Amino acid sequence: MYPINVPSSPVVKVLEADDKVLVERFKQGDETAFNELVLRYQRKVYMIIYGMISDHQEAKEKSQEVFLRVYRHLGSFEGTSSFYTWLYRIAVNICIDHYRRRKVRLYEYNDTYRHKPALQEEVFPVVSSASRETPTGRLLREELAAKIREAMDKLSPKHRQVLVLRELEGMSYQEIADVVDISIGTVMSRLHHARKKMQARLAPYLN
Amino acid sequence: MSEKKNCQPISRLLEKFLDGELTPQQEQMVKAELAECESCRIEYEKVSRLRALVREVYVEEARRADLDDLLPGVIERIKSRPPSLKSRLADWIERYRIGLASPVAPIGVAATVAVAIIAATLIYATNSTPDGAHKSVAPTLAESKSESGPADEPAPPGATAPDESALAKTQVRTPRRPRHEERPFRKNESYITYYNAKSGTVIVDADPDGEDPTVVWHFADEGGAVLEDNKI
Repeated sequence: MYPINVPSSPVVKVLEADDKVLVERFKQGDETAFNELVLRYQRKVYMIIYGMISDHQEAKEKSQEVFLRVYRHLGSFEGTSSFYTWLYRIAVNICIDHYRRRKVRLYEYNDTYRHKPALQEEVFPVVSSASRETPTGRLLREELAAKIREAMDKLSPKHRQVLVLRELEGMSYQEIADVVDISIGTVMSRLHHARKKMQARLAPYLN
Repeated sequence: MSEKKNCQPISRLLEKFLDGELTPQQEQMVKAELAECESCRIEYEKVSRLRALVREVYVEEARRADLDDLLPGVIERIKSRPPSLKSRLADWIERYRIGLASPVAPIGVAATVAVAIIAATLIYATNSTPDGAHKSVAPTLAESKSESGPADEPAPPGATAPDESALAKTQVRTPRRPRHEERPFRKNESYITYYNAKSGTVIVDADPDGEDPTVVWHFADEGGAVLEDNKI
């Protein structure tokens, strides 16, 4: 029933150690080390970006951009922070850039712009598989998914990024503070307000 | 426990509890409260359900996304974009290190550019005054002595006024006398401080400390007759 705190688990430390080895290999000219880093983190990076912009195609394009920046700057990565903190920071910054560029456009499009029909047709397997689900149940779930995306899209980028890093990536307050470059107090405050707004918008589905 | 109980302190800890950010003591306190207080349990369930819903939509979709072409796409973009100057320099150094490139050509170009810049700077500094004005191109009297005889000798009879166009080119624009702090005034050194091609007048200053010019020398009058020295 209750959560378990895992920010400093042995698995994370092993991954950090492996990251250092891969970074060193890349710095010494081993390009395959970069490929390994991409394969290791592509899903996580994609998840963060998708959580921030709710668009599969753009999330993939932005993920590529993240790794392109990693490739260009990994040679000068000094290792003062862990590799994944550095990587997630790049991902968050790219999302913020995306928001800035899209800011004007958002006023020109209605809400359906952010909820493409293709996404709503997808199946969510958490409660039950599609084969066992009734058409009514499926419609309700798709409607709920659309509502959740809508509520997420209405969050400010600052609130959304801490919520994504916490809820999707499971990062600790300290890790979020390192990635976003804010204090832990600000992380807690933003997280609290983001949750309250989400709760208010999704109240019928939470009770 | 009754819902009327003041749950404010514990509600503040609920989120941190859910996020696993509490100390063991605080966790025990929250667990005890959740076991007793129904309103706290409801609040806790709301936050938990919100997390579950968000994860259901985003995490599950991200897990099912096809990312097989992500790495090839990155590699393609790396290859298609021109490398930065820094990376090209690093590449050149690496090539030189393994003997694929010669360092002579770039170093030669760099050295030539450096010499050109230094030379231009020196020339500019030599021909300019401290306030930025260019130094006169008129030769000093000492310099002209070596070329055309003693300066204090009168012009030979029949000498004509210098060609105006030639004199105009050498006309003093900003009469200047070097200050002592710049360069000591050498013995027998004089400076042409004024040169009027039209009237054939040359004013020579041989006194470094004096306020007035020491010599006014007319080559010729308007009719072409030679004038004598006019010492002030």
